[in-house]
Amino acid sequence: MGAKLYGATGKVLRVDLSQGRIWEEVLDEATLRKYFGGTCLGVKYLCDEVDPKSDWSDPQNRLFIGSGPLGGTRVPGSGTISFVTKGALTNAASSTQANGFFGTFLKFCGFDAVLFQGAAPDWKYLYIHNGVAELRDARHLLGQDTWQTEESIKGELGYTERNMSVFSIGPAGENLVKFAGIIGDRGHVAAHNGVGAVMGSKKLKAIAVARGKGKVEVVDDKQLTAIAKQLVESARTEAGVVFHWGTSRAISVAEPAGWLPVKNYTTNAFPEHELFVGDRVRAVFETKSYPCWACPSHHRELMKVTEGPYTGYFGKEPEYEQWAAWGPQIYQKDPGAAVMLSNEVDRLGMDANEASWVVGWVMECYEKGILTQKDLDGLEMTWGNADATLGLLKNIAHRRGFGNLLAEGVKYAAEKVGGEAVNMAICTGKGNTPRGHDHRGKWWEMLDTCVSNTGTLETQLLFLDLGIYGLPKQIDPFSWEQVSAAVAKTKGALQFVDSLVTCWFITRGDLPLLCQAVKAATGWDVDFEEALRVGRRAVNLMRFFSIKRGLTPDLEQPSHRYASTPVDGPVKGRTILPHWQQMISNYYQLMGWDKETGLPLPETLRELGLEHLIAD
Amino acid sequence: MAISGEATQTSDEVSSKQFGTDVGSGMIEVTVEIVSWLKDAFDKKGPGRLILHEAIAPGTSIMDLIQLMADKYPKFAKEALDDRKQELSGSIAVILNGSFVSSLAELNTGLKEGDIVTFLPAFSGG
Repeated sequence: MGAKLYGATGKVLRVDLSQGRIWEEVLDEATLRKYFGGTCLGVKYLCDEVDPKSDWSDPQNRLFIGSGPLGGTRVPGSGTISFVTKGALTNAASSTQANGFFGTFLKFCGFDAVLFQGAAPDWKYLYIHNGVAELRDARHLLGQDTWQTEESIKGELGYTERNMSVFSIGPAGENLVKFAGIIGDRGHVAAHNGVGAVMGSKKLKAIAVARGKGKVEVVDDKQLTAIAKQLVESARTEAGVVFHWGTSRAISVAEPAGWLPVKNYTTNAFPEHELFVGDRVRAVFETKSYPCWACPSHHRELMKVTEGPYTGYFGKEPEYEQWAAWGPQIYQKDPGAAVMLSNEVDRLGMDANEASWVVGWVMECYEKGILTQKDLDGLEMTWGNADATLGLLKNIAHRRGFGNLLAEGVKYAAEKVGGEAVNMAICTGKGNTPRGHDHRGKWWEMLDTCVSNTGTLETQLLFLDLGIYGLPKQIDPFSWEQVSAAVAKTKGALQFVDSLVTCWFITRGDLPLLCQAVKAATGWDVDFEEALRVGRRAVNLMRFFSIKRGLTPDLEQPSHRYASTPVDGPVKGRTILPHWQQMISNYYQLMGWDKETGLPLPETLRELGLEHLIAD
Repeated sequence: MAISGEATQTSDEVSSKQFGTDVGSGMIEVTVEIVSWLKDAFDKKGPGRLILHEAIAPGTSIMDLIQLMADKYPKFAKEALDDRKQELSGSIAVILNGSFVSSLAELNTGLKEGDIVTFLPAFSGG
């Protein structure tokens, strides 16, 4: 029996779906102190237990769902969870997060994380309550969308809405769509790199955790409460726009700044963007507050459409990513239709980012005569056609007709169609795709998307005080040198937050304050430098895993369209490609990676306490 | 420098001359656009851009313009400048005549008659 733990529970719930076996694994404090939880702990399991060369759908693949040492505390947003696995889209490491309540309830039940292995002989869901877990038959849930699944499980187990958290896959995950996500708590999404397909390959329909009566013991509750209040107050005053409006007002900046994706990157002009801005939409549509655990911000609401052809449609309020996906990217100008598509893609259980790159690419192919209505199973995929888009999304989720090809992701589909269509796909060489941005106006994020080891963004600069990372307060967004330095020198910050696990938006990535929160929760003395090392440990572990899988540096580049030159807007004429190799070289060097292979150098691994990988 | 402004679309612009600025006596006029929630710093809300017509001395740079506006609008100063009120805070981005001003050196660019300077929040998230 080890020393009493605070913050973390030190227990991982392990589930072998092939054997139907469930057991607890106890972690010692030294392991927790090194890997914390969430992303970093999940990546440790991935590297320890999964052959990098195996396929994502191999039963030996692990699906890790983890909270962390701040999970379930008074720290705002600490119901967040991190999912780690070998992702379907890149067949490499993957880490993606979802907000809500699951992390808190899991901690209340006595576990830091759940780790799945194997594949069930038939469909199951996992039910966790008061320290007990059981696999239950899920065959009757097949075909249900993610919101229906959540309601069905709560109904049959007798839970009310806020007494249970359910994360599930929809038809897309069941049918192994390569960009299927895992969705729960009414529209919170772990979206990226096909984590939902991994869950589907294991025949795991859902994970349900009851709130229970447990609590998270911390070292200094009074101090942690004070820090939590400080985090909230800082978010309210220093990041008021996000605190009050979530990310929905970002669209009012993205278009004039040239990073709003419009019509599959063929233009940057979308004058109708004002219709989609959060303050306007919330004033027009009916809304109801729906915050996450311990969070007073209005990051996202529930919403009912009150104008246009989708009047009466009810669901969650789209965040920026979904507004961008189902508005400008597909050149669709009705906010009500964007609310509908945003919710339908969640219900089907797909990543909205990838789905919108697929749909935008199809629309451009349709416009240019590369794909016809006949090819598309009768769908008229003209720009902005919301009904046809919904039909296409359903075909993808069920792998019907042409949807079966599109279910492989835009890179694969474009290569299959061939010719000019290849040049229209927005993706990286690895097969992952950007968030809902036009990164030709955000070079740092294009670089990060291409070099990321998570399958999505690996760095976040929003809210960061760049000065404490040895950078100028404001970087030149089109300087290869400053951009690559910024991505490298801040690397680890996001992964540390995702290892705690809490929410970037409400904590603003304030690592110094989060270190104080860790101390109050766990008693661990963690400073800024150690926090970054924890995050970088996760990054380098994922890196190591993916290179052993076969990742080569030539794949770390944007596709033709992704890196094309904007033809209008404030970024018109700026081209990233001539600088790409310099950016990559500078980034590798600053990260301590081999310039030829991209593999972390021995001294880098040693500095991060990962010596055991050197001999591999 | 004189500043006048309306939180309106461009069709409702108000020129500085109408507000009594002597644009004819060696001064030049530039248009300043304020985008998105940066309008809050000018106590303006709602859709569209806030359009200001500014009469400035020839040779005024973009950074000079920011300083001049900061003197007149304290809330803008808080957004745009650092605590010492000498450098950009990192919270705003600048577009000159539709093209992104990306480096600090470019902020020393001298403005010309008819230039359009757009200020917007330097928000990178979402």
